[in-house]
Amino acid sequence: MHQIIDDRSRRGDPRIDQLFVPHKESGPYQKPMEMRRSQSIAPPSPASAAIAADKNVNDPPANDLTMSDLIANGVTDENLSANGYTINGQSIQGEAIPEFTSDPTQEELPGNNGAKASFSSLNEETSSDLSENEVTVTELAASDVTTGELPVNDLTSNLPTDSLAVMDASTTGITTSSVSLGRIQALREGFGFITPSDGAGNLFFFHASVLNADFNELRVGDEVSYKIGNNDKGICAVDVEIVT
Amino acid sequence: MSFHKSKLTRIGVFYDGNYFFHVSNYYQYQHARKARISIDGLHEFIRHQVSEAEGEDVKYCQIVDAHYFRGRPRAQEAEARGLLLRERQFDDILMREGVITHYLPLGPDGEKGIDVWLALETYELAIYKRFDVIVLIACDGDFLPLVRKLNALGARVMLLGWGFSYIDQSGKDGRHAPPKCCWRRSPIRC
Repeated sequence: MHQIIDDRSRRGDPRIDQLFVPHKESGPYQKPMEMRRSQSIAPPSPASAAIAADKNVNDPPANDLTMSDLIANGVTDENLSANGYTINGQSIQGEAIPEFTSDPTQEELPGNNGAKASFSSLNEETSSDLSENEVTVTELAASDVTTGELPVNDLTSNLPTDSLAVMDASTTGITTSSVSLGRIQALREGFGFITPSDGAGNLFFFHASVLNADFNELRVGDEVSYKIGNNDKGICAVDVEIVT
Repeated sequence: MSFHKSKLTRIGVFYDGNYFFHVSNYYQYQHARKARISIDGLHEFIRHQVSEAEGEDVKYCQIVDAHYFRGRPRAQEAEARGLLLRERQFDDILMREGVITHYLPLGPDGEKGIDVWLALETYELAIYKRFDVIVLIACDGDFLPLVRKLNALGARVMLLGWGFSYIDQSGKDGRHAPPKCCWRRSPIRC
């Protein structure tokens, strides 16, 4: 097949061109499946229904409305009220879109509820503010920590280390979940090497380990984050992501 | 089992998914093309190759069935390695092209049983769907008994095989031996 494809390609056979996925310009990377505001609303809002009524019946369903759609149709924070909306000067009654809240006493904290957590205090003597501390989930537990205010002093008193590293022995070959930084030192066909920022030796990485970009988009000198994994020949970099 | 010759040349395509993944990676990362193989383009290519070999008009050479076999990581592992989205995207492509997928979860020793499953499924479908030409996208001598059995049914077998060496994710050198031919009506001797 090598010979057939290459020979016909040299002869300009259009069928060989069709054999490959054409290159296309890709925009900036967007993380997949990011939660959009509209997706968190269970019932379709009256605003979306009103907007959908103006659309063709073949348009996507009204509950696919995104924030950009709302903004495009004139919905702003100023004309959102408790009992309705004002779109392009027209008042629409109904429930307001619920706001996300970061108040831990009213809403569950994101992540794994009941996970055991360790705290690393940057300044243990004066650290009464949780935001000044670093928190690392070390293992899943039944209910060691629940939502609400976290008992910072109790947890920090048992702190064995100030490291953020979480060691596990998962089957994925990842030996540590701490994220390190480095730069691409060399790129070969399907793999490359990263020079860690901390001065350690170069690390091998495979093209399939690049998460947020295509391997072909990488350039020597790019700053990347990675985790330490291992393969048959020793440690390597996994979960490689370009730092933007 | 008798096969009634009709004007249409019915083609069945069977992918060894893991091998096809290596081929696609080769064209993406090593070949000057730097592009993945298009499933649609590959099917067109197959139709024209069969048309040439059979001496039939290409419009009478149609792929009537396509099957893709592959072992893949378990869901939790795929998520941990960030593979779920890519796998779903490729599933979407296969679905759009009408390729039926057959997956088995990978065991600790890698793929297990996929080749046998491919062979049995190919043989059974060759009987029930009466393919005139069966295209194997594979490069494994283990399929030689399958090819002989398919020939015994009266089906012609086309093998699409690329020979190359590669380095897998664990850093190991891998090699697919090049087949001696890419098109044979008689049993293949790789």
